[in-house]
Amino acid sequence: MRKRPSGTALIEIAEATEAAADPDAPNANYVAAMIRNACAIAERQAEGGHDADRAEAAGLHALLGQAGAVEDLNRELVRLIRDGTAPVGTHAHLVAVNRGELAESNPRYLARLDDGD
Amino acid sequence: MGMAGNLTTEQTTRLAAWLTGEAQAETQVLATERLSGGAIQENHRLEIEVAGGPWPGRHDLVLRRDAASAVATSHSRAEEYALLKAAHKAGVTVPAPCVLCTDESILGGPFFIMHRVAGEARGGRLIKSPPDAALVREIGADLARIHTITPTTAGGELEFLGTPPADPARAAVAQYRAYLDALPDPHPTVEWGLSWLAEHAPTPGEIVLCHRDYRTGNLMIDQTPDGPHLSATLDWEFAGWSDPLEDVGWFLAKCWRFGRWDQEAGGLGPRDDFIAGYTAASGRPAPPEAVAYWEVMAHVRWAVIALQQAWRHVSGEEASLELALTAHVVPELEAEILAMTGGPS
Repeated sequence: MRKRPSGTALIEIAEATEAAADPDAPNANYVAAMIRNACAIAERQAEGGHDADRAEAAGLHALLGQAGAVEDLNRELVRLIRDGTAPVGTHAHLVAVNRGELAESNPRYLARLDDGD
Repeated sequence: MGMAGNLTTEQTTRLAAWLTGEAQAETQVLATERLSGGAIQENHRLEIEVAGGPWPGRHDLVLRRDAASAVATSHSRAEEYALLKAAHKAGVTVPAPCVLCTDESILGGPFFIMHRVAGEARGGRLIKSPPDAALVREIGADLARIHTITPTTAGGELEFLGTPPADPARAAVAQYRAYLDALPDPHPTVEWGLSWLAEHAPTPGEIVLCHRDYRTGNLMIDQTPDGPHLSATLDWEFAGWSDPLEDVGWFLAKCWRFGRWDQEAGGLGPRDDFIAGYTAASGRPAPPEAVAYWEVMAHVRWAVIALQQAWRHVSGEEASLELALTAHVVPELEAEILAMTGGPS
């Protein structure tokens, strides 16, 4: 499940930050890099659309044997993990979801992992 | 960044008068300058000249005080000063502490003064230097000195740290579960990591003073003619009683290598040299599987903190792009948690 803030919310705070930014500030480069990063994450989320969400829902459905909203199913999965009764396949499911999130939040990191770096 | 954090002329005058009392000799403030970094604490460079008394001459110092945006979650300046003194007494490489002032009439809040130390602390810069086995060995040995401080040896000086946990690993798991429960969204991967940590928790052993943010970024490294050396251990605000391997795992954790993954000791040098420096100086073994346990803990702890920071933004408590982006570091931490805890399920 995508972490909050969402891409749309990231754009909002990035725009507000840019409007308030002092180009002569000693950390101006750092702020500019943060703005670029926020916009890139938002862009990748927009491109991905609801595919990741649907894949996660399907994975949760298969894992838990029940249908429902992704958030509710994740809440159920959390409960099972904490109780020590996570279904077989939980780790593989979490890895698949994580790869989807990493592809949006930091694709370079994912590429380095896949290269065995 | 305005000049709001700089000391005013009135404050500097009061500071000089207060220092004259402390130094038992006429003290002049020659220069002050706000140093960069530190959203919660402000550091000011302070140059003084003392005309006689027990501390005669010119001194290059750092004054540390709470910033206007200080939060109440970390240790107070008085507590941080006590930690710095304890570390200095134990031979840890820290800036020598000079004086603590709790009289709020001087600068509007408590502050302390320590000697200024040369060096670079920024992780992104440090990992551009060639890997250095001797440096990480030296860091390992210095960490061992922190761990010579125990609830018994500290006496009453570190009483504010509270009762040492009987079982630090399980206490941490319980605390991070409570932190996750306070957040609105479910986080099954972090939860998975916590379950693994609960299942693999080590038998509780000795409890020592842990820095609890011991990593590249909080260590000052000075480039001297005979190579780089550790010149200071900074930011003691999260220190507490714990399993000594918590600091070892935090330092080695992949998330604190600033992208230079192949140099497993904080992006600065090889893991084995850091461990060798630590075990030789401490006489304490650091078995790979026990260290690996605390590396999982490091990623889980940082993930929980990152989610809390992001929530401060999302909830509207503090609108901040930096806090907002912290949420998007969590998938990296989760990837590492999953890689280290792959199991039958």
